[in-house]
Amino acid sequence: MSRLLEWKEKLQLLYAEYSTYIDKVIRFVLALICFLSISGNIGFMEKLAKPIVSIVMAVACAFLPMIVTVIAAAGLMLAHMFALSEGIAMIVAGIIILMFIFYFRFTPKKAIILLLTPIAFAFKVPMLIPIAYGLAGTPIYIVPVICGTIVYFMIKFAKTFSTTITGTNEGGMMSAIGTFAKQIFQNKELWSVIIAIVICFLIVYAIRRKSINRAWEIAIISGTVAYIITMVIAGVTVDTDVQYGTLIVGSVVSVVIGFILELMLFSVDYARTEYLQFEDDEYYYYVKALPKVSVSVPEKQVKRINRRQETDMTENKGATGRLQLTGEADIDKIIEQELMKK
Amino acid sequence: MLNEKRVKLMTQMAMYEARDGERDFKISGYYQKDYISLYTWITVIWTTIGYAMITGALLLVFLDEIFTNPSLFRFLILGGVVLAGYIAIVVISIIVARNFYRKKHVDARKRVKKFNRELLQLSKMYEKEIR
Repeated sequence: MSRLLEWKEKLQLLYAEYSTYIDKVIRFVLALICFLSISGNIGFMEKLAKPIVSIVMAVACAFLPMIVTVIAAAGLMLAHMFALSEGIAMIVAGIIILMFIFYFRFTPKKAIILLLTPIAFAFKVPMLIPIAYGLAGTPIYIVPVICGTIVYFMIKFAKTFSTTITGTNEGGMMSAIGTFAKQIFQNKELWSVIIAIVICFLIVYAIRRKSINRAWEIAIISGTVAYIITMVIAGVTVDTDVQYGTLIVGSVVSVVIGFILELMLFSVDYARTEYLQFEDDEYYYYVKALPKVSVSVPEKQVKRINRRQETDMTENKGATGRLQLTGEADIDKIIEQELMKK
Repeated sequence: MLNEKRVKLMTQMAMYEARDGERDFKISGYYQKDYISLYTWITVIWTTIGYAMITGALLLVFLDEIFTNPSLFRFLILGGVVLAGYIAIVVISIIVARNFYRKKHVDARKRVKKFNRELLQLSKMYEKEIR
């Protein structure tokens, strides 16, 4: 366990040192996986379905804000849907615009969940997203998770029924729109999965906020079990297609990743729990204090060559100004310490 | 001689300016009432557009069912349901938007006030150094 905590501290130090590059790499990988998945599943427009297009787009998205990746993914999806059928593209565009109007206008930073959820479904670990955000977020995160689930099922349906959807005349397009909309919103599997995700999320969130020992671990396992039970009930009662092998394996992987998240976000030492009681003029306080576990990692030795430093300070526009240093100084260390605190 | 405390303060302020500062300065430029009203109106407009899209899509999907055995009474009922739904969704969006943008303005003002206090603190540090 101490080895794991040491690795965690080293990872944090590594990230603090190279965060600029690591962020870019993560954005590139996420964008690439997303674009390749979309093109691989619904690559109806041949020019855009080529891997080189996905790579070039991912490289561009690596240097831009995350919302650009979401917009690019939505644009790519719409382009492929347009190649399949104009009516379908209209429906998909309408659904995406509605998601923007009623939710993502207020919280654009959560739009990344719209990408992560279909990717989790593609990797057969759909319960990972409600577990992760149940541990790290609030109930409001359920909405983008549901939106991501709807996006995944739109892609899945377009892929499965592409041969029956294509049509060019007016009557064909209207019936394609009607069929697509009904298939999406009357799809029992979609609603079963949404209910399972909501139940899993709420259970994980409710339990991890309790002051019981091992709350996070209990939350992860309970959430996963609740998801499995809900999907099994759905498979039996409404006859949805549930692949039990994939469900079990995906659950195990999600639990493992959930424990890794717990290690990164909430490592505490339950053995040294302290219970405190005190009062003030208004309340009695019953406090449970859990000490965080930290492991000391050998620090870098900063070699000081010149003891006395002269510094010139010039102020430019903006409130903070800028330091200009002559000679070697500890400013890098100070800034590094401040960034690590953040 | 390097003033460690000043460098830390300036680093924190620079990080805030780079991340949330620009947005917060823009928000705190409005009076709270004006900010809430403006963005509530914008939300109502977007909600109207969204509701029109949903209603249009539902009408398209259920067009056949609507136009079998058409009657004035049936259309009046349908119109009433659409209107009632619109009023309900606008009222909900107004309530949600007002609370959301009020909190956003209050939080932005708090951060800007903290930034201004830090600016004052920084200015005093420089004055002290000059003396």
